Amino acid sequence: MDDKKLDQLLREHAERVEEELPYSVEKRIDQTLEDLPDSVPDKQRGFWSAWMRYVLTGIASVIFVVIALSYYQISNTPVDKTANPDESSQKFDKTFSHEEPPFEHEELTEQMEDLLAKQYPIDVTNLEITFAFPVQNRWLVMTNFTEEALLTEVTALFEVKRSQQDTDVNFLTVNNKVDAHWYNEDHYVGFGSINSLNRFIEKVRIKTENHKFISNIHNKNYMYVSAEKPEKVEFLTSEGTVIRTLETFNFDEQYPLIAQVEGQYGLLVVGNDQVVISEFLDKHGIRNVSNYSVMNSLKSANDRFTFLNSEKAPVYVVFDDKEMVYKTHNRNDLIKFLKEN
Amino acid sequence: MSDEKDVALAQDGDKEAFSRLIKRHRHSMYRVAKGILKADADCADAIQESIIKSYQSIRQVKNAKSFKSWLMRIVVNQCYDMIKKQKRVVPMESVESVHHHQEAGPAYDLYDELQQLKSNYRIVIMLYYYEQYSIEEISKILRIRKGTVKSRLNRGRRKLTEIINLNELERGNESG
Repeated sequence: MDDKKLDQLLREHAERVEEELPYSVEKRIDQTLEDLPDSVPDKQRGFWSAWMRYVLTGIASVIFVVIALSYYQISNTPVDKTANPDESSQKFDKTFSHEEPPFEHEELTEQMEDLLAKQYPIDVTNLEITFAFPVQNRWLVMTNFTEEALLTEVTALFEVKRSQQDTDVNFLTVNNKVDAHWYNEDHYVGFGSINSLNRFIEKVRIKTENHKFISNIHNKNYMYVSAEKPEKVEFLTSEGTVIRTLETFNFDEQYPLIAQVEGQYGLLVVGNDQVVISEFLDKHGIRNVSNYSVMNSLKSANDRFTFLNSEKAPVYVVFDDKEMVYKTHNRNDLIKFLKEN
Repeated sequence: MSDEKDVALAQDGDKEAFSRLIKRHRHSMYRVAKGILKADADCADAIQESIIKSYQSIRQVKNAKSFKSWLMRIVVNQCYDMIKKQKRVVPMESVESVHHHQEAGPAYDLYDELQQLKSNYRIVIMLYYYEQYSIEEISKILRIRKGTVKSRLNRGRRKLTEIINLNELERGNESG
């Protein structure tokens, strides 16, 4: 069957669809209409009454004043020496900003979806180009899409080259979209997304052993190219104030274990402790653990995480969003630490 | 009575006029919901919520001529909300295995093939062929770019052709 025939088939089918709904749907519609209040809700007498609007306007004004005062205080307090404008205005080896790729958009995203479908057994929905820039004779293109079955946000990188007649698209890497950072050692590309709450973040400063780069945020994402691995990634406001710093990356051993949320803890439990961690944390009213991992075998844990170097189990290891901060074999000591810090 | 008159009456508080609007567009609501959700029970839930939401916000309709598009957008949003909520509780496969083909009647026979399409292709085909919306209208209802509507329509048709050909081949093998 060709496109023309299908087009005709669909049109014919649409015409002959009988005007009959499934009984359950028809019944539900009738019932819903019957149950509606007798008159369309009046805005003036509803939730958004004049009185309610005055109250909410008052609350909003108070919140605005509090935010304005906090901002004023922050901007006048030298809390972090990296906030010094002298440093933020220093020279960088390169600044990366988004540029619109000069390719036919639909054709490009279609090719990218096809490449992803070939690589992974996943359904790609709403693939969007979020960051792109040219490097030498190619374009690096960062995309976000929703994995339909799990409804997870995913980031994928592509390399696009234009030959004389065609546009060649190569798949580079794919990672879950997290508010953090990924560095791909094979392609020398670093990328990530910022937390939507941190709307003041305007750029990201990347420090490697010998270089410093800036990537301006676009669509809540950033990307850069570096032959050296990142050692420090800082998220900056337009004034250069550091909002967040990352010092642990996906090539670091601890990366899967560190807290996924700044200000909270990541927990590693090793040894068959017969405890359901979520219940255990709930039971003790501990709310500052953002993520945890459990490994039953001490040997496997020591093999995988050489920094652990533990001789006996159980062992409880606590991480902040950068590194290991506490280790104990005693469950009560763990509870005490998590409650007090 | 036309949509425009009924919208004006409904905005003045006339429930009967609102009911007429819903009844006039109930098939479209169902087809759009069916384009996204597979089970009729889910479609009924989404339509129910859409009716309630549209009743509560009927006064926000500024252009009565585009009432139907406005209503369809509410149905689309409601369906996607439902999918997200279902994902948190039960995997879609489980839901589908319970409800799949539950009340599929002969009137919607090509739906079997359409149901095998990914929902983002299916909804565009439903809106284009069955609701006869233009590319621009679909772009507004789904809040996606016109180019994306076109590409999904083309890819959806291509994939639908593959499904139909495959099904015919399977039927041929079974009978042969």
